[in-house]
Amino acid sequence: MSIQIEVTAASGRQQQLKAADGALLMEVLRDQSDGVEGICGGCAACGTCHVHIAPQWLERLPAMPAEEHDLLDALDVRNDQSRLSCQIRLDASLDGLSLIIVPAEC
Amino acid sequence: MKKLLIVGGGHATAALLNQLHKQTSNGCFDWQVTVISAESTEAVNRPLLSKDYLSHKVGDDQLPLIASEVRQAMTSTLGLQWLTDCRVISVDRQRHQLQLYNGCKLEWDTLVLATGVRLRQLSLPGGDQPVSEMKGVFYLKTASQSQALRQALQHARQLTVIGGGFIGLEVAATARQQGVAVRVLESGERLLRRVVAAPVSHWFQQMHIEQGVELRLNSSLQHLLADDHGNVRAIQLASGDVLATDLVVVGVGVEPETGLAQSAGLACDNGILVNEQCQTSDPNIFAAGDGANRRHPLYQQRLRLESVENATHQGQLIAAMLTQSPLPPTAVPWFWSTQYDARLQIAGLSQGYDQLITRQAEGKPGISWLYLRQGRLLACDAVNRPADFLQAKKLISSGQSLDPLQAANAAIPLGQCVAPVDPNDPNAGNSRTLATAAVAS
Repeated sequence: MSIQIEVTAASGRQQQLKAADGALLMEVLRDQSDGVEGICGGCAACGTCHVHIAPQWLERLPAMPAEEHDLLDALDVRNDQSRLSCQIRLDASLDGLSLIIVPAEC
Repeated sequence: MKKLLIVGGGHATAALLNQLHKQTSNGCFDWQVTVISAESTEAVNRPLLSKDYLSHKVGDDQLPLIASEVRQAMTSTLGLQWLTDCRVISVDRQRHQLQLYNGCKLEWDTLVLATGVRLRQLSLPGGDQPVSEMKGVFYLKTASQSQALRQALQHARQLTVIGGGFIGLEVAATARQQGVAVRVLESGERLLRRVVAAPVSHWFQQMHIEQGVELRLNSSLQHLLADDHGNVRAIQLASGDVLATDLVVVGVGVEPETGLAQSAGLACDNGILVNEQCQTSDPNIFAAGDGANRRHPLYQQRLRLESVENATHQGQLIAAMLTQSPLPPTAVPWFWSTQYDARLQIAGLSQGYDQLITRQAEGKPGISWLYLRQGRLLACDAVNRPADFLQAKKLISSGQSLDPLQAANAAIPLGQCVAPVDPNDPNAGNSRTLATAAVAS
């Protein structure tokens, strides 16, 4: 079964992406859109998969691990909606998830 | 239809394919692509092989670098054929033709050599039976090697790691966390000596000792001893000590795989020489990854870097060249390693530093080291201080000078430790060329 997500790239371009249940959000964004690199492969080490999640979805996301918290703290454009997409695995409860991709800072 | 041949199937190749695949949807790329790889699997996320895969934290389904749906789509978008367990035996530049081990010939319009590195083999002075024929002796580069090691670790009682570099130490940490007794033999006087400063080595040594690793520095090997069934049983050192072991992992470094490039007459010197755009001395042949020695735009000199970031960047760069898209921006080189709970992130290149500053907040586990040259930040090794790592990347690329007193205060964010600009310094704020201290090749 497939999950739909609403993505706004840093350029402003909007896309609807389809993802499989259980897919890692970072990989979906990396493979189907621009601006997410996810170089470290999902171990919260590089900060190149930063997204801003639409407020109504924040509470439904998995809790933030300590290393994600630390890394986000170091970013300039962190706000209350910031998450690393490599720490979010998609399931049916996230169908319709809406987010903005934040360009890598360095 | 034009043909792209890629030799080698690692991170550079995966990044190149992922980028080309995205471009096909814009109609920017309509070529037929073939990958020829000596490995038995398609591209895997190699850092997992010495860490999370080895420790069973992730399974086989998480190894592929190209997501399975994307990989399926590439069969039509790129006409992708991926030949595994396949070797190229010669490159004919006149005919634009590769010859494979089985006699097949493949033609190219553009060729990419992403041949990477080969593992340095253990050489023993004793002239024993070849180490590779001994059971219980492992090297680690491919998914199948990691799989075999993972199995062997389940029954091992005493692991001996030969070589105190990143691969060896990551394996040591993984094995300790599984309750295996671990000994690390290093021929030099400290761990990680080619990559980090002495205080950083000492910090890592202390951590491994606290985790119960038996660390033997300055040790040179004499023999590996096997039992009647060919299983490794002990290691004899030059000192005469005989150390019992039932599992050995060798991590004694790598060498760039340049055989094909050299036989094709391409310029090589510590890797395949390429310009900023990753072109070899033949502009229709590109090279990327650990085996490529590229002129680095930030450092204005050739660098052969062994890192995921470098391989990924170069793969994307070649994709941009092939699709005539804007080149991806150049980043400061970076690297990471995880051992136990220590997440090390390295930004920049430290060669040529004249000052080392330690940042450690009292009562907190994180620590980082800053490498400066004439006041400017060259590199940062951060352990569990990701903020230092990210801010260091920015400071390194902007070429700003640091105030050393402030930088030594771990409570002040690194980004705020910039020194006031000296009006007499003609190079102040010049970020075009980073410090050009000779980088050891």
